Amino acid sequence: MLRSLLLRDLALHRRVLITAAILPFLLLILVVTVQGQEAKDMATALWILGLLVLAVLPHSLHLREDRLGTLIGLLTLPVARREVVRLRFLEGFLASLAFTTVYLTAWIVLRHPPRQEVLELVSTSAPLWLLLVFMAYPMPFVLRWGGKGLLGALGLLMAGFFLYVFLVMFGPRVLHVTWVAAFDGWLRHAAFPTYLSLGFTWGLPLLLGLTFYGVSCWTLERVDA
Amino acid sequence: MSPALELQGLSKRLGAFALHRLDLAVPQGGITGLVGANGAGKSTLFKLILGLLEPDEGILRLSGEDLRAHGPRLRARIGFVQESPTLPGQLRVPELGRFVAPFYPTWDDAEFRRLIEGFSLPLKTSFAKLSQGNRMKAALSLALAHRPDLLLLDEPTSGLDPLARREFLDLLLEVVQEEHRAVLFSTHITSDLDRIADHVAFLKAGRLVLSGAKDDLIEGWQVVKGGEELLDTPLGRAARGGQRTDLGLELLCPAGTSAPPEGTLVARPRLEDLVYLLDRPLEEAVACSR
Repeated sequence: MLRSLLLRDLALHRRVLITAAILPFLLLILVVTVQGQEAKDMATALWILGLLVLAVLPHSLHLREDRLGTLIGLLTLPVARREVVRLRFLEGFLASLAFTTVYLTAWIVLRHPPRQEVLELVSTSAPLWLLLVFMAYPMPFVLRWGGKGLLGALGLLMAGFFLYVFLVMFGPRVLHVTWVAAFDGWLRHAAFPTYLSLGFTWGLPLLLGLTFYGVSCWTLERVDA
Repeated sequence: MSPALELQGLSKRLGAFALHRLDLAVPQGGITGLVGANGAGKSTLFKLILGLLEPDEGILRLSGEDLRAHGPRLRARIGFVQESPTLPGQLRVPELGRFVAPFYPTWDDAEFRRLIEGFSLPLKTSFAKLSQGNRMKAALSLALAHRPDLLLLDEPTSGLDPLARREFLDLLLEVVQEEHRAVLFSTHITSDLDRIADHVAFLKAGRLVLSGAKDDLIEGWQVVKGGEELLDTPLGRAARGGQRTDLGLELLCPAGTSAPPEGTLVARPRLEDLVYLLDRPLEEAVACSR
């Protein structure tokens, strides 16, 4: 059934998906224009940017269905609503995976980066965190409140970020040290996993992702269309 | 034989509107017309049947099976057509068939081709560019090609001109009679139901006020026309609604209530009379029995 739903979305959102498929190639044009150490930073930054765009792709598709009026058609198909949620998560994962594969392969072929650089990039859990924050976490909001839900979820995220920055800048010294250490540690571990931090960098986002998936299913099963 | 669709005590509140404890049985092999004014709750009822809305309480059964418990599996046995079909506009009719087919285990491609050829649908025009009449035919072909037990039609003729409406109804009658399937047809155009319905259910402000075989309903009522003195007769007291016109009173009364007084006209009501007059207060002059 999931395969049929994917094929349905391919037919329905053909133009959006073709545009998304062009993305890695557009970004690669930028990458090959830069030389030296900057090239690696640029490659990483653009990779993250591409992933960010694709993490919100499932939301775009869902909101587009709502706008086109085909969402009612989707929900009246003989398909459990849980399958629709599964479809959206799968679309996000597949798009990110396809993008990463094409982008990194092309980057390696075009720039011949040192093996260490490649290993650092492919072993980071940063994409997982990105998918968690920008795809999995807003999903229940989107399914419940549509576009307003997405804005609300991202607004909450921004508010959390600003609160963090505020506390770091103006909060008690102890808090400052602890938070900075935690955040630095998180970033370092997310980017360069060790055996000890594997559980945190890979396990935690997976666990949280599964939780948001469950909440999304619960939400869509109770939404009045 | 159990009804194709059975609703028991079905309730749903949506803001200020509420559907109140609806009991309805849609028999197999016939067309049941669901009639009511805009906002009476017809579309809400369809959404409940299709699982788009979760009922607050009540039972929904399709051929004896609980629709709420087995929603996705049972929805494969329902065909649905609505006034503005929610189909992707960029696809052509044959593509729409390929788009929908994988979701229905009983999809019959040969039947789909037969229907679109029979309906003379243009095959190379995208759905968005079809006329409203052809869109409805395309939606009907899609709904019928998986051979549903129950066909739900939500105001399918509302946007059609009289000619297209008649053609659509004739086609519907033809395809329904072939397969002997159950149809629930919602509309506020009562003349559509005069033509094709076997059973009729009236929804008014979220309540089912009347339901039964169309002929029984029509024979069970009479429209009595006369002067103001009608109000003091047993007929006036038994009236379930009415209106004042330039010519006098027009009352809807149960058939056989009592002999009409001299000088009154008695006529068999049309469905439209029933819908219009039932429970219509006559400036509080008629003591309605409900």
